[in-house]
Amino acid sequence: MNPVYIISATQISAQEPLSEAWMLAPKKLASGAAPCLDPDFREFIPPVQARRMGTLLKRALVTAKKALALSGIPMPDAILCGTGLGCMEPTERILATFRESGEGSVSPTDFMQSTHNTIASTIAIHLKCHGYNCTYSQGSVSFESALLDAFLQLKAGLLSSALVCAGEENLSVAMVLSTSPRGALCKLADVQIRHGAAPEVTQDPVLRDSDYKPLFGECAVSSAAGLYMGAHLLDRQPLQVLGTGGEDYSRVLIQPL
Amino acid sequence: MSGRICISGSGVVSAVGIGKQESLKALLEGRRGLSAPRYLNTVHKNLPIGEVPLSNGELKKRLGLPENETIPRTSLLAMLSAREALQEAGMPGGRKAFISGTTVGEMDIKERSYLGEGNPAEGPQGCGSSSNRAADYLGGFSLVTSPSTACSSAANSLILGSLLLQSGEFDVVVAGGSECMSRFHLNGFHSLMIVDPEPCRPFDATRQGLNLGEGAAYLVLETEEHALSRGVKPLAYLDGWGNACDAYHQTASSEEGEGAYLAMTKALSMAGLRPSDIDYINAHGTGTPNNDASESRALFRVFGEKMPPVSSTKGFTGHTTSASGSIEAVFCLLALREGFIPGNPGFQTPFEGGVVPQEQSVPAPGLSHVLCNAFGFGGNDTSLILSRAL
Repeated sequence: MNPVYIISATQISAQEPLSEAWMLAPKKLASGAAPCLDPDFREFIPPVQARRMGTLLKRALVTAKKALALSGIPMPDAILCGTGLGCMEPTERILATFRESGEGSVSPTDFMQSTHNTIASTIAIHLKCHGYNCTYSQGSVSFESALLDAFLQLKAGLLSSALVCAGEENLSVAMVLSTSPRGALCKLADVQIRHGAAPEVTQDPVLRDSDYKPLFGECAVSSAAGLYMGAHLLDRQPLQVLGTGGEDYSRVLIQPL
Repeated sequence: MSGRICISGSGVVSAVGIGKQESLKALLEGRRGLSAPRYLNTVHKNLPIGEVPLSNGELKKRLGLPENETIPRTSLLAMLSAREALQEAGMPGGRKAFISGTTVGEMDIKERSYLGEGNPAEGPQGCGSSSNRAADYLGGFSLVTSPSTACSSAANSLILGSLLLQSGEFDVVVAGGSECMSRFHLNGFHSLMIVDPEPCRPFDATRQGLNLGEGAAYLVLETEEHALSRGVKPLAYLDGWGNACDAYHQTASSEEGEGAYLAMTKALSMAGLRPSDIDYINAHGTGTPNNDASESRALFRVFGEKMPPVSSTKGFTGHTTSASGSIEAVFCLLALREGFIPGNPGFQTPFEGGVVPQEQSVPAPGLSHVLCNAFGFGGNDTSLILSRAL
């Protein structure tokens, strides 16, 4: 059984993107909706490619590249992604086309970008990464499903590193996991997903949705932002990051190095 | 802990039948399930598709569910096939997980509601909620999740299932996938110009594309130790798997079939097998010019001139997309247990560089190891190896 570490974690959200400077003066959001503050995408993606990508995909690619750059691991062994609704823009456009022009006017680009795995595959194409690649879509535990998959494989020695992302219309989170502690933010000690009842919570400090949703908004992968936050805030005690929504619950335990 | 993962039950619904017995009969007889749309309300009245031969009303009746309740067809297909799998496995208890791959999810309801034809779904939507409905109908699952990697979703469910069992955190995993027919999907594929207006012809020189299908299938997985401890004999073993990304294009496969090649190679390595140990390959074989050429290239890279019997069963069921990995894994299970090679309906003439598949189903006693391919859009390529239980 290998130990697993979170080496880097970054985000594009309603807070200052690709940075932790926002932690000094976090913006509290007025409502559940949280439009993203975007970085200058041209720094990361050539304009020709950027033109063909919807905003969610651009954000996902940029957070992924940033997380890898921060980690010192240029090519991960695997790319995993969690997304609740995938790219809503192309999906809605296709349905609107049905309503307005009937069947037969669907844009192939819209269809390609409407499938949930378009995020993880776009990243793989840009990195030319042939490693293990998987996407999970399970509401509020979409990200934790991807994280659990990576965690199990890293522990078992099937992978030595993994890029794990969360992508939703108004939130992108990316983190790099490794079995080596070099440059790590924290140790990833446990990942639990439960259906129908919350996992047991210990006496260790807790970060829950009332802590991270006011800063990152409400969406299927808000808890990924919670883990990002927790990994950077971790001091001397373990931290349980809890996620909840509908019938599914998650508990991610991180520990100081 | 790394015990051998075994299969103790399976269930399947597709255009060729409800349940394993009907499916087996169709495979042996060479009876294709493709037809013009009967249940889907679409303008494409001439496209051959593979529909499960039950209306939503008939499905609900078989499941004992109220006729007037709005339930996604993806969930109904999942409930029926997963129930068959659990019954065969002897309704195991213990710590159970339900892993169900899907892409369409509840889109059938969403598109009807958008077009003013029906009520919107209640509660949260997306892939996960269609899996949750099936899990809650069946009962007893403490973990539910949904891989969504297009045409390799169900195959990837089996991978996560294996990982969960090997971690020791779960006793039983019901893993597979479900995908129902929808206008969204049919028109989406049509827009990519990879749909054949004729019944598909996988690996044939004149192939023009895929026929869309729907269906669901699940395998009950547990460690061999756990199965034997509750007095259940393994039906077969899931000895190897491989997942790799082609990393080439969102919808086309690379010429060298790199992702496919890596997935198959990884699966063989995990199973501790050489290519010559494989007795049958259930190819992805969609019937598109691109897939069949790319997959053939990858197969030759792995197996060289010593190609085992290969067939694509998509000429029977159509391309069941997210469910194809588990539907075809169940067909592989039937092949191992009943001792036959499923045929490749639609094939007549090989193409240059293409594999020459087994066109008719033939008896094949003594199959030991079978390879099952599922290659999805986004270059999400997965291969599984099932081995016979003695």
